[in-house]
Amino acid sequence: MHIAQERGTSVLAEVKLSHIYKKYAGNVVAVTDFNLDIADKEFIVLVGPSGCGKSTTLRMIAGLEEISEGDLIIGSKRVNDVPPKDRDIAMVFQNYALYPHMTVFQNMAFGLKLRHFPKAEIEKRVREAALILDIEHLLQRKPKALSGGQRQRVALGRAIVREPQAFLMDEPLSNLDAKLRVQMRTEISKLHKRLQTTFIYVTHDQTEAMTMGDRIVVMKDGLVQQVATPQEIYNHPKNLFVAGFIGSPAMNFLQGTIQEESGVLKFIADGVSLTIPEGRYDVLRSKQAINKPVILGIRPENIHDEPVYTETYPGGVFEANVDVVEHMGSEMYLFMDIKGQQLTARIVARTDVKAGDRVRLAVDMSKLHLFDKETEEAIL
Amino acid sequence: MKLFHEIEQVLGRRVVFCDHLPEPLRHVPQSILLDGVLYEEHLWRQVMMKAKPVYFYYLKDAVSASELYLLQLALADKERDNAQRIPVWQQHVIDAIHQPVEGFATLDEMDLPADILFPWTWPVFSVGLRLSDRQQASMLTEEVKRVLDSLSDGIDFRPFVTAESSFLLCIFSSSTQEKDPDVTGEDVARALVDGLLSEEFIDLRAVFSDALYNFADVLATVRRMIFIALTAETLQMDKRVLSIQGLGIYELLFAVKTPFKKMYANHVLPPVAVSSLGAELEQTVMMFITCDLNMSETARQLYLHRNSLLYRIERIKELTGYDIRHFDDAVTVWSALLLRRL
Repeated sequence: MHIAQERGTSVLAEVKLSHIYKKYAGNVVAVTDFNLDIADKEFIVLVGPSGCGKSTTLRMIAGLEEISEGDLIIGSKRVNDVPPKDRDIAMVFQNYALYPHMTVFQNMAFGLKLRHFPKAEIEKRVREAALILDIEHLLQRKPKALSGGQRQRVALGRAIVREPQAFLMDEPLSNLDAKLRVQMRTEISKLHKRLQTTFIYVTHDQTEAMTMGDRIVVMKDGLVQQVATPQEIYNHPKNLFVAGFIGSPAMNFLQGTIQEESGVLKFIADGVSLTIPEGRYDVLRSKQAINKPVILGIRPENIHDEPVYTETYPGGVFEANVDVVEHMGSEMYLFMDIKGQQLTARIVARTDVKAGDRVRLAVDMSKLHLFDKETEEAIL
Repeated sequence: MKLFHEIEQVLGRRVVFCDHLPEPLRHVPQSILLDGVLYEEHLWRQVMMKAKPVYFYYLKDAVSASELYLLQLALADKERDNAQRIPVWQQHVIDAIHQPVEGFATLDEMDLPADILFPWTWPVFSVGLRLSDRQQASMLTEEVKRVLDSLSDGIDFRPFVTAESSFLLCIFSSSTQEKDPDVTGEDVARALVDGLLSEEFIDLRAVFSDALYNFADVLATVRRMIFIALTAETLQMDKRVLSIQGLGIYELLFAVKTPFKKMYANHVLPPVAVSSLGAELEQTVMMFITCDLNMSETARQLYLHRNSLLYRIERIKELTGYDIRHFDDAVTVWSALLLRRL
C-alpha cells in the first residue's frame, strides 16, 4: 500500500487563490490580481519568463512571502496568516543540497525526526518513499556518492515522507542536465499519479509545462495571461504573448492587414497574400478586423513544402528565401525571410533545401491565428 | 540539584523540591502554578530553572512569607547565574556579533585573553546564518537552534552554536572533516539553507568560511560574515549561500557612506527618470548586466525579441542619457539603481 492510499480520501487539497496581490516597497507590484482554483490532485504548472511573478506566487502559497492583498485558501481554511510549516505543504527547490554528513536515509528522515515522529513510523515512511522513487539501494549512501538525478530524487523523498496536502515545486529540474531533465520530467509526472496529491509546479520551460501539467497558468509581468489545458493553450492562445511563449520553435508572426477583394478575405503583408478560409469570415466581420492592422500567427509545423500541400492550399502558398537550414534528424527547420519578416518552418527531412534557396511553401490556413496588433488579443 | 537540597535543609524540610507534579495537578496551567495551587493541605508551586519546570511544595502555613521570599530570591539568583555562565569564547563571539558592521575587521590574537578554553580542536570552519524574516527573527532563531542541535543526534557532527537574533555562528571542529573529508563549509552552508527552507520553511542566508586556525580569525570572520550577509540582504540579492570571499563590487556599494549614496543615485538617475523607467526597464538594465551585456542572452532571459530589447535600450538612453550597451554607462546606471535600494 503506498502513501496516498494509506492517507485515505479525507483530506481535500484544493487550493484557491482569490484576488492575490504582491506589492513591495516603492510601489513595485510583483503579482496583480491572481485568481486560480486548483482542484484536489491536480497538477498545475505556473510558467512564464523570469520576473513574471510565478515564483513569488508559489512562495506566497508556501507562506514564504506575505500576501499583500487577497485570500489564499487551502482545503477549506484561509491560510494567509498561517505559518508556513502549519500549512501542510512540502516544497522542492531547484537546489537539492543534502546534509553531507548524513546518509540518504538520515537526510530523508531528518524532517520527521525534528517533528518527533516515532522511529518505526519514520522507518516506514522513508522506506515507502524510497520504494516509490526507486532509491532503496541508495539509502545508506552519503550525498557525495550520488549523481545529480539521484540527489534530486532524495530531495523529492524528503518532501514525500511528510505526506503533505500539496507539493510545491520551484524549478526543481533546472539544475539538471538536459537529458536528465527529460527523464525526471517523466518521473515527476508518474510520481504525481502515484501519490494522488495536488502538485503546483513552477518553471520557465514551456516544454516542461506542456508535458507535465493538467493545466497551465501562463504569466507575464505579474499578470495571468491564460489558464487552460496544454492542448487548449497551444491551439487557442489567448494573446500574442501566450502564442509566442508556448511552442518550440516559436509561432511565426507576420504583420499585415485583412483586406477584402471581390468578397474574398485575404491577409496581406509585404510579399505575402494568404486567403482566409471562408469559415472564419463571420468572426472577422463581427470583430471588425477587416482593414485593421493585425498579426498573423502560424506555427512552424503548419508550413509545408510538399506539392500535395501547395496544391491543396493554393490560397496559402507563398515564396521565401531560406537563410539557414537546421537538420534535426527526422525533420528540419528552415529559417526564412520575407521582406524583413522572419519565418520558421518545420518540415520533414526528405527535402534537399539548402541555405540561399528560394522555396515555395504552403500555410495550412485552417491552423492560422490572428491577433489585434494594438491589444495583442486573439481575434481568431 | 545541590541548591534545592541546601534550601530543604535550611528550612528544616518544611519545603520539598521534586521534578514532577501529582497526577491531579498535571493539567493545571503554568500561570496558576507559579502562584501556587492547594492540594492535600500542601501548596504546590512551580519555578523555571534552565528553561525546565521545577516544583516544590510546603504545608500551607508552615513557611512564612519572608522565608518564601528569600527562597525565591535564591532560586532567581541561581537562574541568573546559570544564564550568565556561558563559555568565555562564546561571550567573545556575541561581542563580535554586536560590534558595528565592518567589512574588514582585524584582530590581533595578542588582544585576547590567553586562557580561553575551546571545546574544539583547531583548525575549525564556520558557517554564519542570517534570517531573512527580520520581524520574526527571535522566534525563528530558536527554531534554527533546534535544527542545529538535532544535526548531531547520533552522529559526530556537532556545531558549536552562538545564536543571536541578528546572526547565528556555527563552528565545526576539524574532527568533523577528519572523519569525513568530503564535508566542507560550503556543503554544510548549502545543506542548511536548502534544508531549513524545504523542511522548516525558514529562509536565510549562509556565509561559509575556509579553515580558521585561531580565535582572532574566528572573531574577524564573524564580523566579515555579517557584513557580507547584510550586503546581500540590503541589495536584495537572490544569492542565499555566500562565500567569505565576499561579494566584490557589491560590498563597495554597500560600504559607501549614506549621504553620498543618495546624492550619487539622484545625480545619475533623478527621481523623475527612475519613475519613467518603471519596473520593466529597471529589470532590463539588471538582466543586461547579469547577461554580461549580451543582447541575445538578455533577450532570451527576458523572453523578448531582440528588436524589442533594442527598443528598450534606446528608451533607457532617452530617459537617462546613458547607453547601457557601453560598459561604463551600464555600470553607472546599474550602480545607481542598486544604491537607490540601500
